[in-house]
Amino acid sequence: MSGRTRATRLSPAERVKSFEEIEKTLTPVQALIEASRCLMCEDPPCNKGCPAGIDIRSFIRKIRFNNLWGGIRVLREANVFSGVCGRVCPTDALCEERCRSQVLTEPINIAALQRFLTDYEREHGARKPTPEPKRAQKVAVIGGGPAGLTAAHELALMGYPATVFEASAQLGGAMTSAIPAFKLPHDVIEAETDAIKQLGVEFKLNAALSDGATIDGLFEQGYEAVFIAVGLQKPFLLAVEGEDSKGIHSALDLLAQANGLAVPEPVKMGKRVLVIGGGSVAMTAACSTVRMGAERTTVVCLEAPNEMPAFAEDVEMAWEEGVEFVTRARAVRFLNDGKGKVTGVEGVNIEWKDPGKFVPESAVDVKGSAFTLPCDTVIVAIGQGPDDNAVRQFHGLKTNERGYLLVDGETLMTSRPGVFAGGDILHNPPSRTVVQAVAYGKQAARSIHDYLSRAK
Amino acid sequence: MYQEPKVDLSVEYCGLRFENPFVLSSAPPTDSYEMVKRAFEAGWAGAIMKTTSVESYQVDISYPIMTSMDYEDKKGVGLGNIDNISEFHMDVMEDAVRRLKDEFPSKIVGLSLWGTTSEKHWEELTKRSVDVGADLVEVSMSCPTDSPFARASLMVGQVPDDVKRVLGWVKKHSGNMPIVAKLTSQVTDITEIVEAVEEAGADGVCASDTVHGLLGIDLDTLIPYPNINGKSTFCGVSGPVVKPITLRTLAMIAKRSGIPLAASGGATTWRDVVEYMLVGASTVQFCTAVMHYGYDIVEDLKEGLAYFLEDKGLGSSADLVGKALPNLVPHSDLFVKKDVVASVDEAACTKCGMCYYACRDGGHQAYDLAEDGMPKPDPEKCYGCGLCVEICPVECISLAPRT
Repeated sequence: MSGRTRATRLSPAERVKSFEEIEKTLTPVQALIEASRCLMCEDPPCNKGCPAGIDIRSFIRKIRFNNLWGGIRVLREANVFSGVCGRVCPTDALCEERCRSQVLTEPINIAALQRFLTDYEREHGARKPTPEPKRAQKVAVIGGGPAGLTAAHELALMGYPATVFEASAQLGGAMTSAIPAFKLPHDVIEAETDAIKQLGVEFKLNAALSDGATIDGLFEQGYEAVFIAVGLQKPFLLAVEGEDSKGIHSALDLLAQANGLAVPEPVKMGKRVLVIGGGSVAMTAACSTVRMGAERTTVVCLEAPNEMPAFAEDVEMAWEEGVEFVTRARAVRFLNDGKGKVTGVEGVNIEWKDPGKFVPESAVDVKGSAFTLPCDTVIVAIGQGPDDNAVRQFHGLKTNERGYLLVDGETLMTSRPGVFAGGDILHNPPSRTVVQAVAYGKQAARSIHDYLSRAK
Repeated sequence: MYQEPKVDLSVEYCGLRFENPFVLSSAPPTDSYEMVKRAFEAGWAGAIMKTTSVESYQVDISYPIMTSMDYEDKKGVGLGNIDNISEFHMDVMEDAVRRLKDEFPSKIVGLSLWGTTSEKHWEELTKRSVDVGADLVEVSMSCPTDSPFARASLMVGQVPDDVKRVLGWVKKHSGNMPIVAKLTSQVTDITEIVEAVEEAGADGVCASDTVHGLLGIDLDTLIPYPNINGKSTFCGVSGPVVKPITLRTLAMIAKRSGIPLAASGGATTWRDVVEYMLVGASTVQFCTAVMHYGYDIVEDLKEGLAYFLEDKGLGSSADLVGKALPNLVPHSDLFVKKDVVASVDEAACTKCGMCYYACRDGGHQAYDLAEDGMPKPDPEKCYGCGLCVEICPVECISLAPRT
């Protein structure tokens, strides 16, 4: 029994030169070796760990028995974003977590096998699904991210005319704007969104909810159900002195710019960069700054390395690329050059009041630990929340105090009949990941179908 | 939501229509009504019930009956058994056929018979098979392994006269029901056996049964596997190791005779099935792969074959039968040439040096290793034997035209 098969990766020295995808696809030989390690368990634990409901055992078995198109079918029937998820899913915390191959060596590299199949599909020309006969009831999807697009895809397969209203100028949501190409190349997203387009889903870009385009208005236009999946667009601020200095940007802006999108205040990458935050977005932002010309990038975060919320592989990626870390620390005040341009940060080390609870409220400053770090660019990556404009347009839908939508856990229906919601905008989802968004999209489509079937 | 490829998987064999070429061979997976029912529900097109006998015949089986050959980390490359025919007699199998044909009228249900040296037994078994409505009968000629006829060290299927005699007994009472000779590959000349089959008037051949072997010996106890109270015996070997033998046996028969052929022995994936069909088989029987992975493998067999046919622009799996036979000629008819040389894809090479060693000690000393370990075949020394191509772990060597 051989160990885990890993695809070739660019060396850190090579990869910091460009946004080229770091990890390559498995070769057919590698895929067969890895698939053959699978124990093909009865009652497989991997399947239970996939929020999108992919029959993982089945697609791996199909690779093993040379039925690649069958494997692709299994993936596509469960997850229209299988190619994206094969790249960005935190599989070690999901499907691979309880993989029984660990008893012998290591878990099966499920992500790499999934990606192998979707890359094979892209190379050979995808087979197309056949939707059910057309239905009359129109559905509006607000938000063109993974949750909204998945819902539109599933609805279109069931024959519903679906229209996606996207606030920005492009589809894909966080996949397109917040995940850099070295992790997720654009052609992968494009191929999967194209598959949705080909089902006849209509897309309206630059079509945010507004006073002139409301949920009421959608119903007036004849839409019979609405699915809200607007995601989280407002970056959180540190709320410390000097945060309005020039040279301080949100990670969302930086990543959008790195992905070639227009941003209101483009980042002029300096030489000495600080990234504030310990999540995966902070790590990919830090790695992006390295590729955009930063000479020295330092992550400043509350958590110690083993406490960081970022996925371990993202921390390792940043570490390999020469990103430095100042951990168990927080920014207290930004310094500027007197003309409003940031020149440094004053920080202080922290310890946890409530050990094991790594949240800002539990952080206590360590006396006498104040420090100053010089910088010319700061990227704030401490999370994001519901966009004020979007929340205003919810028009009384029940939310929590911070604007996250409250829905029925089973049906995803909001407090207003016919209006459903899913994805990151929900209060307390199991995770804020692409695969979780896909799961919500599928759940919403099923639920909307049930609702419309009853309404008829 | 994904439409199945628009291809026809059905095949015809001995005048019977099979909805796909995938059939369970007469073996442990077909030892009861309940098992075959599940197999049919999974998608198998047919099943030959495990070989059975008249009620008065005593079947002795010494357990354990299974042993296997592993190769490095691969389990079950070969499976060995010292099983016997079914412990269930004809009455149980008749009941199974009746119920299966009743519930699955479009599936093919065959019986496999064993009547020892007794013409009476063969006659009774054949008549009862006809009466119960079996679609076909296989005459077991290499299981049990020791022949009860004059030359006890040989199997029935190894002696043309015995083959003809037994088939003759069966054919006399079989009416319209097709009779298939299940043959062993372990004969000097399979075509001699097939001539006997044809002379006896049998309708088809199934090639071939397990290959007799000895899978291994326990180095501490010196007892071969499987160990039955300190003793062992030769076993019937099945599984991926016997595939080349099955392929050759099929091709040899198909080259010499037009008799309908069923393949058996060594198939695991649909690719194996396609290969068996290309050398003349109409249906392909499975046992070991099912014993290893379960009846569900038929899903991947059907789907894999369907996508393959669609990709190749073929409408039906029947189109595959025999298509590779014209490309198979005697060694003496091969065009003598030495016009290819090894070529290494250096970007994909891991510089492990396996090709270097293989060529140095098993080839023509054509490889040198560069300073950095990159293997460099010398076209002047390379004969184009292909050894390096076959052993390269990353498949980065090919044979290129000699320039």
